[in-house]
Amino acid sequence: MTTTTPSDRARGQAGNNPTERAGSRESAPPDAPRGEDPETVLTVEGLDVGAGTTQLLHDVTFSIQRGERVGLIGESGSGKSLTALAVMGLLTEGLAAHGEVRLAGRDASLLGASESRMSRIRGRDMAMIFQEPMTALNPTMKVGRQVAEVMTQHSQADRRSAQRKAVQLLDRVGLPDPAAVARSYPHQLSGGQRQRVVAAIALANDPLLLVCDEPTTALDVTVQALVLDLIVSGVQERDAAMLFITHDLAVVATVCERVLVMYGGRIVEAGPVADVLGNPQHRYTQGLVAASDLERSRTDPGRSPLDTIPGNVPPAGKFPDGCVFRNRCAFATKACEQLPPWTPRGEHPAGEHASGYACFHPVGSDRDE
Amino acid sequence: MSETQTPAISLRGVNREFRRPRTSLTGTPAVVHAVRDVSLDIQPGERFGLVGESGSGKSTLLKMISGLDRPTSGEIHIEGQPIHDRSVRKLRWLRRRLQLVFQDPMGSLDPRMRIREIIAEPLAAQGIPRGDKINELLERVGMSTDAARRFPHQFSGGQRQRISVARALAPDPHILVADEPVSALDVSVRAQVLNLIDEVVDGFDLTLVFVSHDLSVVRHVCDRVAVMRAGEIVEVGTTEQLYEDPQHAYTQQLLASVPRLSEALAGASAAQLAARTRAALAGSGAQDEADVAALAEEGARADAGAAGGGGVPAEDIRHDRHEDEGGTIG
Repeated sequence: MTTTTPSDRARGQAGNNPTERAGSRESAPPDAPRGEDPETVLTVEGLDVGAGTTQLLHDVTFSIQRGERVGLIGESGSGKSLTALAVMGLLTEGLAAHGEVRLAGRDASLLGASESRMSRIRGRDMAMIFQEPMTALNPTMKVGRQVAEVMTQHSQADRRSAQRKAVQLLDRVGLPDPAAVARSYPHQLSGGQRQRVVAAIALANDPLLLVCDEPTTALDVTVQALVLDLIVSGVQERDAAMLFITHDLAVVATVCERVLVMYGGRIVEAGPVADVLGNPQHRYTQGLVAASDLERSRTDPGRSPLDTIPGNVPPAGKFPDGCVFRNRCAFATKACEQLPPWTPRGEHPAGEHASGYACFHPVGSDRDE
Repeated sequence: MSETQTPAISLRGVNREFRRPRTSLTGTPAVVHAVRDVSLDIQPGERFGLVGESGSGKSTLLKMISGLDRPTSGEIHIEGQPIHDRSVRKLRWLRRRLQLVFQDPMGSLDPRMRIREIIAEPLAAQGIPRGDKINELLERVGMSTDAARRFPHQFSGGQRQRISVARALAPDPHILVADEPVSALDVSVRAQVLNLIDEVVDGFDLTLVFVSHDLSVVRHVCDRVAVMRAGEIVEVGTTEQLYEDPQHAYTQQLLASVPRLSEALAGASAAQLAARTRAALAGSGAQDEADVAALAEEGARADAGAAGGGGVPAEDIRHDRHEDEGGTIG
């Protein structure tokens, strides 16, 4: 984390008080932030991330309830991974973050928290599964020790019992002969097995929040199906909250209950998966769903070209002001030069940002189609 | 080409083996069969798909069809001409008939060359006068002619893939070979490039060989599909047959494990997808995922070998390096 506003700093100090470590998920801590619903695990509010004068994330606001699985979709460069890294406190030097990231049981925003504080939270209260399991694992350390390490780091567990528990965890993520796997090095395992090990590490301390960034993109389809199941069941058993990043609409619909659509560093639409992907409102989501529809086969009579979104995703910082999608949108008008307000869609227990869209010309609004 | 009824591409008993690096001084090095006994005819004008998971041998097979690698045994004929000996004269001829589009549009375009030079290179190599061809090709792939004086880094991934297609079309080939051409692209751009491939294959009357790990992309593009596993073709059929009524257990397994948006929106969960996959896995003879993984790893090493890594005879490495860079060697 690189920037701290004065108020962040004040809160960061408050974070050192002993109640922070005592935060348990069974009883909402008395100092739960601003009397929010104790079921809310993660709250991100007005998150802005910038590099110098280029703003990369704009006013990202969402929350995730306990036991809720939320997907974050969008094309490359839309800000998905940046959002995850900001939540985890893993933004690289030179990126400045503003806004608030709050985790249940922590009374202060995690943005601007010191590294020593974040390293106590990361791996225990929130954990992350990355796309490339080979780079997420230490190549010089046996797998069992890597799983055990995350437990000895965050609790009083001694090495021997942590080792024993590591083997149990490896068993629970479906690795055959877990004792042998524990004794092997990452390069001796296949990609799918490595990703299972990463999942075991992420789930070792029963986190409140699991963040997954394209966890199956590098895997073959068969292995993907099995690893997705493993992640979802691991999260369900622990009643944890999950933020799942992917570019694959079918994967997000399989794994998540609710989805956030990002484009140009903004959340442009959000809501239950069936609403957003089955009946999108924002013109970008509509284009994305149409462009990924490959279900018409080559041999189908009357097969027409695929629907496309014209143009390309602009590079970071080159998105138009107002509506970020307006330079590629067939429905854009003068009005779109202004930032479209968030329009809630239906009632959602997690608040108005949980379901809605930001578009002046939502699907079905004008004389389109 | 079709009046003679000669297949565009004909493979007979094609094998490719790679030697593993030695692990002991006394033992004989292990041999990896990247491609085993593949026989196949692809007719002119056909759109032929090759699917398989990583390490299945599809890229190795593609390299041999394209003259970038030599089979250990077996014969490969392109439009009736044998190319498996990879003589320089044959390869020069082959590059005029068969062109490639690769997965990574950044890696396959020389960053120091202007687009004009990139598209002109295959023409120069073949001794074809360039005339107005470069502008025509750029327009044909939906790029403005100003692109000619710019460099690859000034374009997005989708635009670079358009440029790759323009370069491939430059020597008026009969056969277009595309190796995972849309795997590195975003969804909205992927649709544009798939439409472009559709257009040029129809417009230039090309035979298409399309390799992908993505079954739905292949289904959208191809008339006939072969499924590869561990170096072997386990099933070949028309797109309709293969997707509607897969015969081989492995094809069934692949189709079972693909998540589908329509099913997921109707409520299919990750657990259901995994259960369907496990059932299909049991049917295909793989005991569990570890088996699948072992096969994939085996093949992945073979692929690494094919890319010029360890275990390949030195002379092959020299050839491969050279030709992999441009893909337009004439």
